[in-house]
Amino acid sequence: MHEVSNLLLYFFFFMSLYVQVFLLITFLEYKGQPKKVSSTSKGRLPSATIIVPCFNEARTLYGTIRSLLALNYPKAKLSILIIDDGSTDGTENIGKRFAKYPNIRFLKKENGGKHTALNLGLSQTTTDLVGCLDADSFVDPDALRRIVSVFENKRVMAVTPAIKVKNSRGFIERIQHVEYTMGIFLRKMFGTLNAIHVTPGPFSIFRREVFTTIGHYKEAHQTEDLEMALRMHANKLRIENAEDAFVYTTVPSTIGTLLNQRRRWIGGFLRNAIDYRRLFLRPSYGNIGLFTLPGGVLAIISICYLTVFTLITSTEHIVQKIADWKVVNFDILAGTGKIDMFYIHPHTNTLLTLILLLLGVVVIILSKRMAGENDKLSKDLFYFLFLYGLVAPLWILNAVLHTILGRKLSWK
Amino acid sequence: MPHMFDIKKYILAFVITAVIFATALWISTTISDRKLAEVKQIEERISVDIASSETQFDLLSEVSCKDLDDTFLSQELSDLATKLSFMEINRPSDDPELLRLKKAYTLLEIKDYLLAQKVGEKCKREPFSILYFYSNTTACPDCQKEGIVLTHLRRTYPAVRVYAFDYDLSLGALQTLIRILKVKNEFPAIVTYDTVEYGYKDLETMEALLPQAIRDSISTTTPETISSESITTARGGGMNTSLEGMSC
Repeated sequence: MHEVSNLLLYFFFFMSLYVQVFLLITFLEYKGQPKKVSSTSKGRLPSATIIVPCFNEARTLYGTIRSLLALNYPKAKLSILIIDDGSTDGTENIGKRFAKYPNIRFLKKENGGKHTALNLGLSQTTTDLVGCLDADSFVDPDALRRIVSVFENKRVMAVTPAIKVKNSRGFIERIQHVEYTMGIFLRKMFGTLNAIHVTPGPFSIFRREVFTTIGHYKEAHQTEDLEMALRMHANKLRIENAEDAFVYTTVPSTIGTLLNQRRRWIGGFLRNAIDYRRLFLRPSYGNIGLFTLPGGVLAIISICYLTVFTLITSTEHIVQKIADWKVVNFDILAGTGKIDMFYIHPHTNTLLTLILLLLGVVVIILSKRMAGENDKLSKDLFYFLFLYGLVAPLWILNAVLHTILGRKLSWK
Repeated sequence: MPHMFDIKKYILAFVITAVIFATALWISTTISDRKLAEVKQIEERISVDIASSETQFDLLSEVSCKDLDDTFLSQELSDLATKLSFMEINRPSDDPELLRLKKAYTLLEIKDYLLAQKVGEKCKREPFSILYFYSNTTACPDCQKEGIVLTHLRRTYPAVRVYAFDYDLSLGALQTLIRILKVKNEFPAIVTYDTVEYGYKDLETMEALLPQAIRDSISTTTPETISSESITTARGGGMNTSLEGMSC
């Protein structure tokens, strides 16, 4: 049994290391490529519609729309569609106030879920590009131009942005700040691999023909953005990333809301992965089938196993230690002298953990550079190395349990 | 148009990962081998110490007992025991080199015990030793606790000589000792003053067995180095003292 668990540990360590190495090789290839030169200022800019689905977003909707209005993009080429999905707070009032702008329309419908709001928006759209922006997110003024420049490659059918955290005050938000910063790097790498597995709600932009070709959004286990990306890959449509098109999103500030959100994300990933299992390990689907999807599933399994394993062995160790100390009446310092280095023994697993952490630090450094962040590295390292690793397994285990038990995912 | 992928990158990543993995394995194994070599060196040193003490004892038949102080007997034996126990946790249980070292250590224990008996006879003082017999093949739920008690005893009273023996170890000298002392295969078995007692003895019971002189000598000798918990992510509850169920 011990040998089996050791072998499993080695396997998970190996695969985790493999993923890190693969991504870093991808980064080195990306750095070696000539930088793209944006020519949007010279050529014709495509028309674009940004759909803003909202449900009880009165707190943030105003800021979201203002950020869209501040986009550095010709107003004549930009339409904004606010879709109120049956809100019961002041969302409708705020939305209607913006309807006075010539390029903004406000539509209200009965509550039916985010995907229904997006689809209503899609049915009203005739522009070249169409995108969505969550009503708790805010775009950088140059975001759309930078995304549009990626569409100069005619094969690109969708472009994802670089998402940052808007609010980073408490430690829950700081943990997510590090995570989202790393996400900028990872999404760029996945983009170069044509292996992006999600077109996130905050400001993913599509050619309109994507929806006329493969259909509108589906409910997709409350993760329609993930399902859309997988469906695009299933139809061999390319998704790219604009690592300098920044969008700022509001993140959960409490453990409870964070767990809920991540349960939906992880659960949605697992369920959509099952729905699109035909992509797994199929060379014809490229890196999404060979790397992203299997890697994602393996990561979830390994985190679950390692978390349970660590909890069990740590508990056993603590219980045994307390029993041992009890035998000597808790006189644990009797006859103690200097520490002998002989007993410091780096096991293979310890060394591999250190290597993985080191590679994680490298990814954080590269991510911060890509995200244009100049604040102290040490803060981020603390949150990532010591806190993220404690919190993340909670939502992953929780999501896996929900998926296994077949419980319905919910937004809130 | 099919999605493209670069098979060479997958292979390169695999090769690099394998190299990193193998390097980590190699570093861990090399360090473990070096520690084993260190244990072997300690054993050789103790072996020479004991041989020297035996020879000295034989040569100096009229030597005064005041020359035979606590440093006459090896002080490294308990340190060796702790390190050997530590290596047993961190190496495969069927490691032939480890098994050989364990047998050599057991032999050193017996020689040390016999030398202590001779010194005691010569100087007309009853040597106090604790012989502790355990087993890894026969179920012994109390052996772990007894090992902790005896380790604690040894740390608290450095003058106490505690000898731990794996009852099932295939070593002629050990089996002879077991026959002489008439130790049955019930565990844990503790021998003091040539009397064998079976079953777990807690700390207070063991302390009550100590001669008053030893009990009064507490904290008058230099504390020995202690073992730290091995840094491990694979095994919880590593045994870090010499007497807690050393395994074969």
